[in-house]
Amino acid sequence: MACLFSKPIFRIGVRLRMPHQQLIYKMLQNDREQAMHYLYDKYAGALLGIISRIVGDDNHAEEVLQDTFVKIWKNSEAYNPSLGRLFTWMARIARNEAINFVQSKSYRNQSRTMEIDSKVICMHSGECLSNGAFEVKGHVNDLDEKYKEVLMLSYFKGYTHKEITDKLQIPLGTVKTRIKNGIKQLKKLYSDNLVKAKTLLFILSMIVL
Amino acid sequence: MMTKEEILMSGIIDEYVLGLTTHEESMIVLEYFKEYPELREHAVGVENLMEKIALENEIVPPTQLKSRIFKEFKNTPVEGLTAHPTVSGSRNSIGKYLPLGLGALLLLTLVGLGIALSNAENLKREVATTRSEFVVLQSECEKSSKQAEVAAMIANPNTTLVVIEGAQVKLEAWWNPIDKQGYMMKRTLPAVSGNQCHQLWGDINGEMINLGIIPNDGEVFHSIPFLPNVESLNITIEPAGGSEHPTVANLIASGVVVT
Repeated sequence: MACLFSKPIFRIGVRLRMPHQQLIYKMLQNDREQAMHYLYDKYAGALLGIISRIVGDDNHAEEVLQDTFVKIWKNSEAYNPSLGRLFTWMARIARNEAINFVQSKSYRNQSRTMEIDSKVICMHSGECLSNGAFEVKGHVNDLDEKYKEVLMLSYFKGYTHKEITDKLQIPLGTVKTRIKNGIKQLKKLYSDNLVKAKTLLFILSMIVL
Repeated sequence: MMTKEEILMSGIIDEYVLGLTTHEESMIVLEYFKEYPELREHAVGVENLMEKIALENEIVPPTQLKSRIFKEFKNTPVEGLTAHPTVSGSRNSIGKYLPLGLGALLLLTLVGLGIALSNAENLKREVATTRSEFVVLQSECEKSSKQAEVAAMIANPNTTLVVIEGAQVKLEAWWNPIDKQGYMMKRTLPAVSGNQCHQLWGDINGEMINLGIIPNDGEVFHSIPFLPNVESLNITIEPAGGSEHPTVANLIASGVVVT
């Protein structure tokens, strides 16, 4: 019986304080390994999510994640906080590593083989293999489709402006407008949700009390 | 200089956060941040948002991957750190070891000469490499100083932004009538055929004055000749080499100069 309550479900009055951006930066300068532990535990999943959507294969995505963290480790002194947040810097490294991987000759040769194999399987099973479900969670799904696809291509796939215009066959000006409006809509979706969550919490607290 | 609202409306801050800006555009955004610290706050807001989305869509890596990665850290030097050589020495009586010492010195000298001769070739190669690196660095410096020049111009309160726009054409010109300077940044300028060019004109009292051909050299920034009393900047498509008078039917973009 005692063991049922040995692990508290939540702690009252104890607030877990996550290191602030500046603190993480100082950690990187003073105790790099400890800082990397923190960064890995907090962000490895997020970076793998970005990488997987570009690379499209679990094993390769993990390899690219490894290369990403090694690059972060190696170049941690090059990070300049005045240019942007640490996660943004890490995400850019992850996207670049993934794009370089996809553009590498060995991967392109492998992909050709995979396409042929999947066609063979299609023929035999009568079903077609999907390319992998790269659905996104959260409020990104509530965006207007035209904003969602541009933001997905730029943020999750690392497409340049030109690549987006070529892929979607829309003018550059339209790409830029959709990015701007998409972010505006996202901000609204997240802040509306925050207001709703706070209101719900308030109501719940009134009921409990 | 663009107002804060104009900069926000252009969407360039959002593009900077998403990593879509060119190096030159990023430099400009950093200048905007200096001029308007609130714009940096906007950028941080967008960064926080994108981080939130990335965390919502995370894929948990397999447990063993972490130890594999941290093992690799041990074999990976951090760039920027330099080892500080330690110097140690001990005091010895040199008297009885002098002849041995001189012999050793002679031997070392002979060996050293041999090494020096074989190193001469290596040195030549190193010098050639350094020279070529210097050339690259020099061009980077020239590029940087151009960027610095442009950035200084944008930050100058006497500078006006002129957006030269048309269907699928957009350029930004910074026009400074006090310091008599003009600079142009190509945003979107569709290519023309080999026997055509883009020509820039300044409208002064209804007369179009030639401001030169817009180079098709892949560079984003170009200085433009300054003329006083220019009321608008205009771009036409002309035959290669340019024209004395603009072909009005080929006017593709225009921007009003507000001073």
